[in-house]
Amino acid sequence: MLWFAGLGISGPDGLGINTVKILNQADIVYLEIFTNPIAKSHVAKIKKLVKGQLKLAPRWLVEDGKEILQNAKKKKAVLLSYGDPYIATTHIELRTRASLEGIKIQTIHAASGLTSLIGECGLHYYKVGRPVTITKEIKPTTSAYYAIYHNLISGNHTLLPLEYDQNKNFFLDPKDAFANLISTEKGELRKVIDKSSYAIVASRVGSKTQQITAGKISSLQKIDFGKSPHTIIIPGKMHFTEVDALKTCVNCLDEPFDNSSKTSKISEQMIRKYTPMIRKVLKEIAPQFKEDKNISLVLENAKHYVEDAEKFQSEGKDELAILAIGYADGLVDALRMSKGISTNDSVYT
Amino acid sequence: MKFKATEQILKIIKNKEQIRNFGVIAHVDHGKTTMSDSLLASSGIISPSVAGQALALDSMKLEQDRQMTIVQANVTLLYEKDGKDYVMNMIDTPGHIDFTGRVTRSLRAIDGAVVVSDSVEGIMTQTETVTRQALEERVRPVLYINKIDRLIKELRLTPEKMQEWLAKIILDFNNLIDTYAEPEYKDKWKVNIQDGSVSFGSAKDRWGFNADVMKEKGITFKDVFDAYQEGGDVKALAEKAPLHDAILGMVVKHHPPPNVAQKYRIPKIWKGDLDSEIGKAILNCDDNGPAVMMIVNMTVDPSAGPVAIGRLFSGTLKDGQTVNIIDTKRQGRIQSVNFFMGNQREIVHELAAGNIPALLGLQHARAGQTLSSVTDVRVFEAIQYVSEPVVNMAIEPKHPKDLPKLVEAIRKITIEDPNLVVKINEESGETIISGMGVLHLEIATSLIGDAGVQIITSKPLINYRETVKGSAGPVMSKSPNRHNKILMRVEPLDEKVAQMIRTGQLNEYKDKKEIAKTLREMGWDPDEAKNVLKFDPRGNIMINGTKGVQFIQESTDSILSGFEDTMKEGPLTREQVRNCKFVFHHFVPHEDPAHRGLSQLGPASRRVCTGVMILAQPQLLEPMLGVEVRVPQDLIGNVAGVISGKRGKVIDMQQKGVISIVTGEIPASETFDLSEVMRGQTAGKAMWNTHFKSWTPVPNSVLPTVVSDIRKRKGLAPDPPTANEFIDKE
Repeated sequence: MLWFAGLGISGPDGLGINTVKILNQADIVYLEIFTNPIAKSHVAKIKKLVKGQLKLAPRWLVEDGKEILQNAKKKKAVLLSYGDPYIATTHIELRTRASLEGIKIQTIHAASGLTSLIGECGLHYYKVGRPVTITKEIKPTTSAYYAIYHNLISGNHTLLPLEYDQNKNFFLDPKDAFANLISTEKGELRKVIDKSSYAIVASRVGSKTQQITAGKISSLQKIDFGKSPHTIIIPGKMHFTEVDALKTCVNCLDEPFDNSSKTSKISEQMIRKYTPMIRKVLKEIAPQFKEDKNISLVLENAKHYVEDAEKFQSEGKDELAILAIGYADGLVDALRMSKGISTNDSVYT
Repeated sequence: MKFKATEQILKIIKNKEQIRNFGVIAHVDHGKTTMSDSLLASSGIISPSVAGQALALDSMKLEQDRQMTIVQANVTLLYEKDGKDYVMNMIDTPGHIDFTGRVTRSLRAIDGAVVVSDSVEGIMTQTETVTRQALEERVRPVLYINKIDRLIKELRLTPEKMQEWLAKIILDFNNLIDTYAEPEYKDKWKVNIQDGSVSFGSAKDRWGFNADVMKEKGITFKDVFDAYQEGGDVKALAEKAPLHDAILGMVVKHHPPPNVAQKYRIPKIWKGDLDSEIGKAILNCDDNGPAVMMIVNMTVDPSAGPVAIGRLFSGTLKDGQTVNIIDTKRQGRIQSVNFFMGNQREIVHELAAGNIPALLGLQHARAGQTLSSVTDVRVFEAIQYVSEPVVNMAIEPKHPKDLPKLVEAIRKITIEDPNLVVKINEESGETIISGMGVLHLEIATSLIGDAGVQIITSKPLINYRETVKGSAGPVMSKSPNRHNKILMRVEPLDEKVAQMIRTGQLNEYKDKKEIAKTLREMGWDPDEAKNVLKFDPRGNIMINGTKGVQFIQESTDSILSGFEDTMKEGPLTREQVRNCKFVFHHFVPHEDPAHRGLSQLGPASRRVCTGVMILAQPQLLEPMLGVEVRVPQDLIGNVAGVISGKRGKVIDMQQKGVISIVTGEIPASETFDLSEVMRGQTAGKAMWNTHFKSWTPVPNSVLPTVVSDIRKRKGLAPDPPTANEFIDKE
């Protein structure tokens, strides 16, 4: 028998009655210590609840899993982990292997930091986009950067848990995470994040010293956030109830605002840039072809394509909009080449 | 005796037409050093009476003991021809192939070479190797056939037969040029007696002549023949036809001055933009252009510190000038600009393009690097080394208090000989010294001994290599958290590409398109050619064969780190891997970066690379040494016996006068007691040398023993692992 039990986010004092009962009955309890640090005093308290053996489980022991599965075949084994047990994909993978080996599985769910902190910030859970961990070793952090990008375009919030390395007792500092994101912007140039972007740092959610701070990154970079764990949230479009909650329940350094307004889809950026450019060139070269009826027709056509592009764009049909503007540019370019007119305004220069 | 003061020499070199930069290349013991000394005698730097014995160029006692040149020296000679003075920079290059890296480097500094050949033995393997390298660097060779007296005294040839015999050597030499020279030089650079590009002589007896001397002084082969008969006068011959007239005359006539040579050599040896300002300056050997110098040799002067000797291709160098070491992006200040005369270094304060300056004060410079007054110069192409270290030895001072002295001595010899590699084993703290052969290490340790440090050395250990014979994959390994899959293939990498990687011709700093073009020209698939992920300097490559997979960019470093681990320690014996082509076939990553960091992808990548190699018929390679033994004819059988008794084979036997030359090959692992065995079997009558030849598969008959011996030595289980330990099935 293998129990996957959640410790929740408020320490051993927040354990449910059922969890306490299971810990009491188990032959062996593995206390998983790598997804989040567990305070020594907490370990001591848990130890008192366990009648059988209590074993601290570092990453390799859970990833390898052999010992846990071996014990679960004959004994009552519990894997007790911080938060909810199935947020960590390692635990899901272990559960799959246990099932394949015919081990009976039971689960005790508990609060997860990831879900709780959304509510603590006053944000709507319906608008959480894809979360990405920011790690120390991966620089630039393009995964996180593009997750924020895609989430912002859809108007969603991005949760960025910060890396914790149990082996080295290392927790990534929010300031370093901000610096990494901003330097990634310098390479990617999608206008996703800069010092004036709005962000929230949620520290030690669920504990007595919980602290949530919101503001522009430039303001947040001056703050000492204290002990880990920390999570950064980059909010997208905010509902007015979100803004109200944020202003009321959270330490706001700056007035909340919408991050998504300056980040636009690449297709939008392209149309916005090329439409006036092609209009201008059309106007310039039209007089040259006044005499030629056939070519005037082609120019007319090009103009229609530009209009189509704008129309498709407004209907959200991005692919068609890009296709149309590219076609218009091609026609204009061909005519220009035939007359030997050079210009710097082209999609392809 | 035409002695001139330094000031007069500096005046002459203002006219580049009166400069020659040449070198002397030859087979071991064909008399190169004796000849060089004979030339030195004529320059007024050492007395003619001692030239035959002094071996002034061999500045180390050790070299005199061994009678062969180890470390190149540079001298400047003065020669007058047709009323004009010529300043001749002569770079002496070693003929022992253990040090071929040095030969190649000195070739870059010279425009012409005098190839010395023994009259009886003719063109030998090493002469061929070195001449070939010279031709590759567009260095013009001329031929000097030495020890003509042996034809008379040992072979008892008549003057007519002598000429026939010599014509055969010249033909052999021209065949060499025909084989290795580039098309436009094949005919231009062939040597012949008529135009004086071949000289004959005896360096020991200090006479020599060529067609020009014959005409001028009326000397014939009959005169030579007579001189060595009963009552003949060899001294008179040397007075009438001194060797230096023949050699230096030939050099002045057939070797180009630097300003002429650089015009056609630079496009071959320098890959920068020839139309740029720097390019033009180098092509034209321009004194007023930016200074560009390639260091060909570093020596350490006991009182003055490191001395950088090299060829100044353009510009002018002065005392106190700050120069950039382009390869390492460092700066250095030239303390003083010097010029070699004999083994004397003269301070000359400044030197201009086309010369061979010796610079003091550049602590961080190393042989092979490019120096310049500007920062944006394309470096001279990395010189291609022929060999990689094959033998290691642990070394420690007998008295621990001598450790600083040992460190200093090692620093000095590795500055002078970049082919010696010294490493500290991080686990054991041992100092490991690696070289090209047992002889190479013996020389290095005796140099350390000469520096006054008593040392203890371990038994030499042979380096092995691992590679694959077949191809395998794609196979898959998962990361420790089982959330990432890496799929990999492997196949043998063609030797040519592997060699280009090892020599740095193919490297990551090159333009992607240029790399792709080079690989396509080698017959590669265009898709693979443009997707190189990593060149491993051991001669391996990783290709990105994934299609449309996310997060590759963020994961590349971690995956390459695992790949490198396997390249450092192959599956069979944890020896270095060479000549393998890995194709990163597919990647299934975890969504979140926290689950696909180095600690996850590194092990997965190492496991998949190791596992796929095990499935691709892994091979263990051992260093094979070429061996050349000169021995009296009646002992041939004994020598052949020694060679075959050492797992070696005899490749060729040649009769050269009274002695025979046996060439063959022996695995390096069998050469530790070769000296004793050879001496015992031939009563000490065999002269022999070895050189690194190739990495050769260990034969199956001894493979299991060799593998388990290496593994045991490294504290591993005797049997190599199986693929299942590294590869995951779904």
